[in-house]
Amino acid sequence: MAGLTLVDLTKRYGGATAVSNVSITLNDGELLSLLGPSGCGKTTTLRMIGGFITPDEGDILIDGQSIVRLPPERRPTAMVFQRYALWPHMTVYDNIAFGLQLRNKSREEIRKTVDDALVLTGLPGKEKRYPHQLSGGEAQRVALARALVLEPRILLLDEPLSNLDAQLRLRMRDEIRNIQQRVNITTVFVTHDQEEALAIADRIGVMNGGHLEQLASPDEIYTQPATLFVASFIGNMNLLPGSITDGAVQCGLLGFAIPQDARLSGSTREAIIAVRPEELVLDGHGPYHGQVTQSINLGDHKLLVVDAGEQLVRVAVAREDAVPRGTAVNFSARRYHVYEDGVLRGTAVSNDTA
Amino acid sequence: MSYAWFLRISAMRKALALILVFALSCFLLLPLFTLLIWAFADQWTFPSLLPQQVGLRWWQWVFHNGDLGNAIKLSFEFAPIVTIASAAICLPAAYAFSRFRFPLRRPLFVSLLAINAFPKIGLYISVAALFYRLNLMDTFLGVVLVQLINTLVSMTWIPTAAFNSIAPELEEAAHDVGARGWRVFWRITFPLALPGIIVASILAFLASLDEAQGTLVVGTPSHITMPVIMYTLVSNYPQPVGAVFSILLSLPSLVLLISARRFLTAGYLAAGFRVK
Repeated sequence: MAGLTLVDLTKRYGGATAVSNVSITLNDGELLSLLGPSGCGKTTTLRMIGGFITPDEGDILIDGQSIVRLPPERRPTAMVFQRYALWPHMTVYDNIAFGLQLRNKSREEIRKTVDDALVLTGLPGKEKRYPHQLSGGEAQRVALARALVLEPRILLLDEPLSNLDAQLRLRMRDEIRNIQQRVNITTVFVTHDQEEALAIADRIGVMNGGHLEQLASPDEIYTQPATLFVASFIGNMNLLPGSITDGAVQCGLLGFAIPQDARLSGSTREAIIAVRPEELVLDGHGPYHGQVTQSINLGDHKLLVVDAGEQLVRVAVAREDAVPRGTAVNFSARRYHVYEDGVLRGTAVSNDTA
Repeated sequence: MSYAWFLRISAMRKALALILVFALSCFLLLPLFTLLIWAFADQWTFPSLLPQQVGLRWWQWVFHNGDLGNAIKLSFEFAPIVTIASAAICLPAAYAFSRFRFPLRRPLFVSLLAINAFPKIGLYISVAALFYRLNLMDTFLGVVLVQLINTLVSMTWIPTAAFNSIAPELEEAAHDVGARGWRVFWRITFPLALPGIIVASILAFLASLDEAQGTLVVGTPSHITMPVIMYTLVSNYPQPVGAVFSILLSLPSLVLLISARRFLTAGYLAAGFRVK
């Protein structure tokens, strides 16, 4: 249990920069999710914390002490690998006990610690099995138990759920969160799945092209995406390119007023309006109109694809609303963001609609 | 007009296949079978189809003949020593080929094949020329060295493949829980590569046991192993002695190959000869 600080962490491979100036401070017991598309540098960052990759620049501190020069075996971190990396020639018990044996603990102490870990991860009775006799979920639990018995100060999880099927993934996700909170261990969780990150994390670090795009709570990431990349990567978003005309952004036939407090750089005349489908509402008096071209049923709600002249926009409606194709509709926006140069410049919230 | 009409009848095709398999088996096994008969024939003269007298006379003769007994003993001294020496040299090389990236890695890996690219006898003659100068002719060490040549390829390539097949995360995970270099190798890497190492060791053992030319050139007159003595045996001793000797020579191969069947079919042999 400890705080983790990354200071300007940078890693280059040849000419390419895999991770660029990533700085993060994590509090005791916090779960950070590093989220991004493949190749964004999230796994490289995790492996630098674990000690498997040496950063070119920057520092890594645990409780204020630099560990960047220590090899993995001397760092107080424990890693759960993407493919679990259980040792196939050892039983579940030996896999979990290996690290404890290296620390010269007594036989009874090891047995007790391993038994506790098996109970914690829901694995009692499996200690004599070999890895090839385990299901994906069980292998995952063993990997977690193996990491936790050493009482690391930082737990590192590298896409731990990506090899599980959808049902099990949800269950293990909640279970990992549960165990993490019970043990109260500072955790870094790498994933490419935004739903996973939103559900499990205290804070999310969205990465793209080696940069940390935004570091914030799941709520803030969703409602205030700091960059255009975050806006497009997290959740469903209508992105409407337009040009700045006095006091508004004109996107085809749709005009969006620029909020009072927006801070435009004024360097270009181009801007992008980002608006979530659920922030667009069908409204007889709404300023925008278009024609429904498609209705997509998503189970708990529907998405209407509306042709608004030069733009196609997606509008979320309730499950019960039946809007046939070809219907002419009016709609309004409750909340939208203005991006200029890929950066959030302002958010408009209308308070007149319910 | 086609003569292949009988191939269209499935029973005929099966019969033909059976005949071919039988013929092939005869071709492979009949010589071994006559060898077996010869080894136990105390007396067998023309025109009799089978020996007139069957017994263990020639076996006793072989085991009590000093030269032959010595050759057997010497062969079984060389084989394990050559295997261990080969492992000591080649396993670290195999690990390096698998885990490290260094200049000329690929050319070096492939160059091991050069040993097999030329007629061996030419190689042995030049080795002998070198050994004369180093006073290694007709010494135990000289024979070990010359026999090592034949074990290098399999002892390097197969373990390299075995090390390659171990995911690096398995070693990383061991580092992560606190194990250092040697501990990781002995507890994780070595046990996982062991099937490949066993296969390579068996091949090295057999290569040493069956090596005749190099040993003949370097080891004569006082280091005569079983395969070397076979040359003189054929011309100087009665035929059953050769038969007994052949069986003694093939027995270890047979036993080792059968016991290693599990590993041999595990794909290490095939994987060993894939150049990465």
